[in-house]
Amino acid sequence: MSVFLFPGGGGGGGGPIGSSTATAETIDLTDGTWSLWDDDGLIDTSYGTSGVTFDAVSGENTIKMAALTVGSQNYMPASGTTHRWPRYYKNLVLSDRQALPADTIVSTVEMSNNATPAAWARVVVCGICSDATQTNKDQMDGSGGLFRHGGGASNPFAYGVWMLNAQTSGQNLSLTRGISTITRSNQSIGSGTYICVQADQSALTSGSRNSNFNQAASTGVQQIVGIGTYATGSIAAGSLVTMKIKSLINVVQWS
Amino acid sequence: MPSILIDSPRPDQDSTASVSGTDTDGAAFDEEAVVIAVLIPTADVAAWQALYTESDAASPSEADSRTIARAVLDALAVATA
Repeated sequence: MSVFLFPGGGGGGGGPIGSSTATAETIDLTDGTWSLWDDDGLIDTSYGTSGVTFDAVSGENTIKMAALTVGSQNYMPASGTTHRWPRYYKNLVLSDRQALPADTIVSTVEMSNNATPAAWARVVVCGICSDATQTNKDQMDGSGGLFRHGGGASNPFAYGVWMLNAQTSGQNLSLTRGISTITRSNQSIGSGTYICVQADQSALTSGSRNSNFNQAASTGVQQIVGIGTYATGSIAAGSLVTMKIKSLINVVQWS
Repeated sequence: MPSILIDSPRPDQDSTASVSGTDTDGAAFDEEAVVIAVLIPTADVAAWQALYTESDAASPSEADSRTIARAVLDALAVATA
């Protein structure tokens, strides 16, 4: 995970004030830094490392699901008020301290779905939250990038922004990846923007979503990758999610 | 009559989007939708609220309803042109 403090080094010269260039890093859910919250057992933890394998060549994580016989809104990251979908998480730790809700945090993720595994009606989110172990959406306080697919051959791929328990996204069969950025600061969960990209690298759609919520000052800041259902359907045992996720998190220092 | 404004085309939403969230009745929805930003000037909020009685099936009045409907439908026409 890349965490950069802005403004960085350099300065001087004729460039834009406070600018810097940073490279996003590929998320490897098997690198030992991630914990899994999955109290309802939706992840097949007998597979790989806590249900995940990582392909260092492609940069893709593959997550294997266990069976979900009876779906509900609780397993939908973008709906309901109770979040019981599985998620991988870790504290957002800077070089000298834990990130705080008061910090200005800019999180950019690129999500690239691999359409090879058999499709199922799924949602993947990646971003920032207060506490991934909480099941109340107002205590989790999550926001970030989102991928969703209805599971059918004719269903479009959708990439967008996840905010708490809602989402806004662009969708089309031609989409191969989505780029999203969220900004959180001064306890505000802030808002996010997204751009949907096609295989020929042209952008197809863009959009945004505001949270209009603040997080509690006493809570922490964590990075989260969650997997859930598109609607209230079930999950067949052995269903896979294969996705490359790149992340760049900037914590801006104002003084 | 109080005013209603439509931010059209909405500058941060340039096309049809997939949106899921919760409506004003608390019900979850998931729709492919044209997003239209409706702006009620804060100075006119009380005036609009005074014109509406939720329990009265005839409220708001035909004239007030037409003002709101025309603003939204004009924006829809622009968004889908």
